Amino acid sequence: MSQSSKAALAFANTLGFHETVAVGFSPVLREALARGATSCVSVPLCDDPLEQASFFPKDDFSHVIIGENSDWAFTGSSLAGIVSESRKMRFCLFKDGDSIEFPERSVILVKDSGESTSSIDVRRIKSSSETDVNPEGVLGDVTLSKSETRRSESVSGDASEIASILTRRIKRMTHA
Amino acid sequence: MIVIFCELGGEVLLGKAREIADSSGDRVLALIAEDSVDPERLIHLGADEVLKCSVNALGDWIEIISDLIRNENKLKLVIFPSNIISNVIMGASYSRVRSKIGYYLDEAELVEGTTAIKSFASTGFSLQKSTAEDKTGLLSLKISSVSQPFEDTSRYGKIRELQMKQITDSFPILLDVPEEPLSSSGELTILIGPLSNGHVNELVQKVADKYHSRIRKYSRSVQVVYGPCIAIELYDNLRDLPEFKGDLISLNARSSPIGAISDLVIINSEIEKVLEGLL
Repeated sequence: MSQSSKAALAFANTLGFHETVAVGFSPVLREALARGATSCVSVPLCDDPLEQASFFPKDDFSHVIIGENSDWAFTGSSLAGIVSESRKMRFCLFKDGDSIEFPERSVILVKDSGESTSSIDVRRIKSSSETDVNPEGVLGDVTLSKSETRRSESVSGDASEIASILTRRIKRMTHA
Repeated sequence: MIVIFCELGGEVLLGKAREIADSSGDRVLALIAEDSVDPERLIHLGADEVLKCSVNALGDWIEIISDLIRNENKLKLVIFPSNIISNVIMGASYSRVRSKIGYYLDEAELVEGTTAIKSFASTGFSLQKSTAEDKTGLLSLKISSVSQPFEDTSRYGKIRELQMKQITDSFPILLDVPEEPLSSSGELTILIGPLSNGHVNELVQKVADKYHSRIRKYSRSVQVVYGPCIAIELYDNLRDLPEFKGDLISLNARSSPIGAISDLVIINSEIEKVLEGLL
């Protein structure tokens, strides 16, 4: 289960609803149940966010909570835009420290702080492992290829020379 | 035609758009809000035309962009700066005009002709999407992956205005603009080791303020760092370090295991002086 999905599920648990449905690719759903979801819906894994959203259950949920998932074929923010638009639900962003009051019928994108989330609830392991989860396939037509190997470079010199190299690198990274 | 969404920091993408347009013969259209960036400047940065739009809310962009994609036959690419709000607008627009879209890719790092590439540095793989000539590629590009555009004040272009039509059937999906629209993979993190002293911490705070970056104190609870990161005085073993998904610069007073996974390794005993030099 991705760090962002764990963060989204941990956030969902803080809202205190009686029912939290985990929607995702079958291999992660038992973990989702052990982390607090009350039921799960297995969907294929897609490389396109619109196609992914088309497999979501059609029920009228009060909130759809999505993790940021920056490290996947599409981000949670794209998926959130699609779900908001197609279901006419308001979009909200949650990040650590924000209040947890949201309008009814909203899509909430949980910004991933990268911090560890609460652990699996051991009391839920037995029931989660006994739950039937339908395996689904992987859909998409993207081309995956091996990236060029990252090159590491070392710099040496006095502090002012290093500061000047570092300043250029930071400006490039941030466009500051 | 290539359309650049110049709100939310998107004007830096004009240089890349100009480069693609010069080799393909396309025009570059810059989209801005009425009271936003100076349109003349966008022409100097590479736009052939600027469309000033009278938007009342961020959600209005979904209507404008969907209309453009729907009605412009030779629209090759629509490029957004990659951040949370841009991606939400892009996703919602995609949902409206699916049949016109050849590919959808967010947080891309490279775009060449009709192909866009996104790489997952930590796994060593990259993902590639291409579109047919008669379709539009919809993508958001990481700001850190493009060079600053060259400002040529002798360039000429057209400036048009677009009055927002009354929308009655649209639902305002966007509530308000978050203060930080950056996604976790777009923001610079400064990760400080537990042994760094008070003066180093003060300097790091000033550097973070200057470059609008986020400071994180290293502990075992830090699992992932998504964006570019400068790790200062981190001497832990690799197995104890978080996963770094973006570029990593390590700055240490002595050799450290993190050097083995860093893109740039800096070893200098005068860390405070290096930090002062950044201010």
